[in-house]
Amino acid sequence: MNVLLVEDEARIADFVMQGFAAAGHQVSHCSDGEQALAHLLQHQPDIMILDLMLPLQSGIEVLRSVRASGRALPVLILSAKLELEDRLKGFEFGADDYVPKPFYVEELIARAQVLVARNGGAFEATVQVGPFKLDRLKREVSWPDGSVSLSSREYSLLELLMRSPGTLFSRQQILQQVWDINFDPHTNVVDVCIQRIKRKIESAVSAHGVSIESVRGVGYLLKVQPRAG
Amino acid sequence: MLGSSYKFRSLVHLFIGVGVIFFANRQFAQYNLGRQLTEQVRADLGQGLAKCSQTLPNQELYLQCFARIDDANLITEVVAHAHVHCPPLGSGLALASALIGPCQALRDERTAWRPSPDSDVGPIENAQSTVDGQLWFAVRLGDAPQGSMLLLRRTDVENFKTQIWALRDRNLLFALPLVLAGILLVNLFVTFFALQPLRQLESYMLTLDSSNLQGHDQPEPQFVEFRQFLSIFQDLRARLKDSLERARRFAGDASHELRTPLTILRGHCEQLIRSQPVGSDTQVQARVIGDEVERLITIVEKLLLLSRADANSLQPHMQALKLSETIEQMVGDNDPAQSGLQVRAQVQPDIIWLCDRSLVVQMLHNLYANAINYNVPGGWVRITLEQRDNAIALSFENPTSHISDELLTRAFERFYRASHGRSIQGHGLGLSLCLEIAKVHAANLSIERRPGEIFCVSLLVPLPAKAGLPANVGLR
Repeated sequence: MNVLLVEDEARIADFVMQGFAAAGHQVSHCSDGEQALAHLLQHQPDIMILDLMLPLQSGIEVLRSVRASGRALPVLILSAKLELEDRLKGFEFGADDYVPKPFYVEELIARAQVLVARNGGAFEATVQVGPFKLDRLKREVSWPDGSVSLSSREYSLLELLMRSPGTLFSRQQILQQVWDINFDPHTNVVDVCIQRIKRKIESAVSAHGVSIESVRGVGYLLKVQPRAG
Repeated sequence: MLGSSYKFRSLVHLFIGVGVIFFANRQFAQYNLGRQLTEQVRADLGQGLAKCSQTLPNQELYLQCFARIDDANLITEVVAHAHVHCPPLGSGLALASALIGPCQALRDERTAWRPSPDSDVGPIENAQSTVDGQLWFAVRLGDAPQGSMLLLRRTDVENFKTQIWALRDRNLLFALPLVLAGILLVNLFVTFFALQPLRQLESYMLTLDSSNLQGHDQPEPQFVEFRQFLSIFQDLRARLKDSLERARRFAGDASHELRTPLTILRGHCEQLIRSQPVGSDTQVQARVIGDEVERLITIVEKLLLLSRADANSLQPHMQALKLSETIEQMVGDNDPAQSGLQVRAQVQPDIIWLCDRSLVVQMLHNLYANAINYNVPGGWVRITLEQRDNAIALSFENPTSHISDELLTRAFERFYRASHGRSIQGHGLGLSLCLEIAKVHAANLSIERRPGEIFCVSLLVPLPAKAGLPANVGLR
């Protein structure tokens, strides 16, 4: 995925670029609106991640110029302005998604991938990690000698872990991406859900070397152990 | 307060007014009736004198004489039933017996009195005598023919006065309802017109909210007396508008200025965590920092939400939320066995609420987490959701160790935490935030202590009239 990141705050741009690069994507960075429009004249990124409060030309003006030129480039707005009015304005001018700051890079990457896939007409019906296959339509996880259906929460959580195997997710990160809540409810919902998934895939874990690991005090990750031989 | 009611004060003024009218009426009647009676008596005397004209030639002198007696405050007492009598004419009449005393007295104790030195009234002889319990006066001019005299009978003045006042009071009794009605009408009329500018201002103020404080259609003062008042009001409105604007700007500026460093903190912290070997000490330490960053983000987000609520700029994004389903899922996400609590949910199915999903979900999680975290070991949580005629009622009940009066009065205060719950995770912003979320949805959030140290939080959501509802919203 070829990403154009338009963000004036260098320290934010820094970790976003590193995150995308670590996930195997190419990222170009522009720090103001004019630079972004100039870049678009010469390049064809798959998606533009756009901050709203930019010097020289605001994010909304950049978005308007892009849409006025007739380009169907997916645009994901990244902003600290969360007012309903701002969000609606973004969508009104043709944004495809709106990610509020502060955000998790993993979530940003996941959303960007969804937008690019949607734009290219691609739809991944399954997510596969080793012998584990997650069916997005049936909401079930299967392995060579078995399968189990999941509840919507269990499915969302497992999908999050399977999309980035080996990546450690904190409870808060899971809450935000699975429960869609950006606050700590001070309950053990994440742990309960992880336990339920673990119980369901218990029989497959030992046989196929894919497991959900809990890192004490840090979070959870999907671990894939290389098969011997 | 009744005492501060304008109507009550008007009523008090009315009664004072009636009292003043009574008093004034009494004084006026006393004065006026006295005068009228005097006039009447004079007229009677005049008539009497006219009758006596043949034998009483100096009528003018008699009249002057009566006037002087009147000055001595006798006539007003005597005149009411005064009779003029001429002995030569009336000697054979019924009053003859009454004449004996005064006439005798006049003969025996004759006194001469001259009204004034420059008057040409001759010496006046007068006398008085009590005959049959009544006081009689006899008056005769010194130069009048012998035997011609006027006799005046003094009546029972007190009785006479009583009769007069009774008559006046009776008249007043008939007149009072009319007088009162008149005063009331006048009062209402005056009040109506006096309050009209205030009513105008009141209806104008009712149209004001945070969105139209700039007010292009300001009311014009109808009366000069209200100019100053209106000017003060406009000044207050302008200051309120400025404050709200400042609060709005603060919420907007603060959101950017706070979220940007928090984004950097979170981003780099997560990057650090990912870069460390899984389960290493550095990773765990970085996670501790990350958790504190998350805590900070949560507090900042809650404060920003509260500041937007304070500035009236919290705009809910209304969507239909399957409330029954959301609550059931929330309960299902928790494992009662792990928390050691029994969770009983009595949820009426298929209730839908037109609300801001993100805000309401936050409120539900907050209320549920409170019920779990402020519970007793081996306790329970009861969640009840039902739709009544025109409202959705949701309640969270749980036993807790101690519900103080302070908790009940201060639970919705920002950063307030119950003394017995200080060890429980939280920031003391949850309930105040829930209250604001309820308010923005025109719902009512309340807390109460039920018998047996049961803490209950209730949410009551009034539903709009069914006719105006989109399909299924707020309906089963």
